[in-house]
Amino acid sequence: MSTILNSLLFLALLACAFVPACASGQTLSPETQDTLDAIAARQPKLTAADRAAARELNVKGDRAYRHRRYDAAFTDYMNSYPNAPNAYAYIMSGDTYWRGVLEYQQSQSKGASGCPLDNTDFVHILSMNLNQEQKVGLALVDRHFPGTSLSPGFVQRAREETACLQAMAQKYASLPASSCIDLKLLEHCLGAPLIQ
Amino acid sequence: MASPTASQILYVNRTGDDGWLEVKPAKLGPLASICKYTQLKVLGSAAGRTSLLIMDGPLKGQTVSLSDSNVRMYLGKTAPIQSLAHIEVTYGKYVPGWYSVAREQHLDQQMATLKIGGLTVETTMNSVWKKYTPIPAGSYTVLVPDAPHDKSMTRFYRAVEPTLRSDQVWFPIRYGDNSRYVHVGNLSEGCTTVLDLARWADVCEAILSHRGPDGMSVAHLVVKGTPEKS
Repeated sequence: MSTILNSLLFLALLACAFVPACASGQTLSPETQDTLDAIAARQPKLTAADRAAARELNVKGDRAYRHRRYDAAFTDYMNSYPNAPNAYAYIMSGDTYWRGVLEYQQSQSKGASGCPLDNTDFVHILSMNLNQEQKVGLALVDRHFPGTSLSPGFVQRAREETACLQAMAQKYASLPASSCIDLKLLEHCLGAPLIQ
Repeated sequence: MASPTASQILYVNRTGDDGWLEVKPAKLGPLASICKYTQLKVLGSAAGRTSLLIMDGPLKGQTVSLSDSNVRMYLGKTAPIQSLAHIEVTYGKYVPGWYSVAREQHLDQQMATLKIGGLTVETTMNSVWKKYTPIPAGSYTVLVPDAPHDKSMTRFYRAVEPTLRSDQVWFPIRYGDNSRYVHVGNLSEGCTTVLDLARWADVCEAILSHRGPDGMSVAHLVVKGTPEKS
């Protein structure tokens, strides 16, 4: 079952890989669009100090990420973009959130139900996270937002991860809250760390 | 204030707008930070600097110095109240999609009401789910702030609330690894996070102006009720 699902996800992901808009372009959710509008409105007010604060937090986040301290990295990235919106922090914040969740859930006992993470709010949190972070980051990349110079390899990986997580949200949206989340599938979507 | 005399006890009565006072350690190293109402014993004065022994808080026992002019400006005789402040937090509603203007994003907030003295403010007890959980109902000790927290974590709140002060003052809650805090902001990782940015300075002062008998604690926190989401 898991193999079939993974194959389907892979196909969805492959399709998205050739259509950048799939992950971030033409089908933006209202949440993503609202965030992009707010970012645009704030641009003229940003100061050099705001940008420096965001950059410093990204550097700190990268340091923690490379040591696989995803909780610390998440806090840094998640506080970077309110200082000065930047595609990198949006993308990395979403990524580290789920890596932290995965690590935390894998460390938990499975309990009587044998399920460490069920579907209660999973789709809501995943969708909100994608719409407010990864998709915002990728949209900023697509729009050549000032100060965005990310390597094509990094952006491609981020698109693949986002597409895979989106497909996962769609799958679980049709399942009951009691369904157990397949952590292997989450792990598969995240893949290898985005930065080494 | 007149020039301090040796053995005199003084307190930090004024800080920068981040809520901290920087002092120079006697040993080589970076400047140290002490919070308001830290007790200091005057050791002596020479060449325009006053040596001080820190008497309480996380840096207790360290010798530091301040310029004589800064002693006059930042230190005084107003002592903290020698008892713990009483903070009461009562769980309220779970509000999915609460909008943070400062962060330009929606957050799922487990709300609560915090009362201290005559102040009542709105707090969030968790915003990051599947990883963090609200603190369980119970009684906790709140500790003297450990060190200035990274200003980049809260400085952007000043864009929406320019009167925000003391945002780098975070109070550790003695629970688990003490990584939960009473602090200001819109995002809680299981902390008691005061959403009411304009009132933070008052809440901070109400907590900080107390000291427990151990010189390391400032408040007794009672968390009541049950979170709607945990």
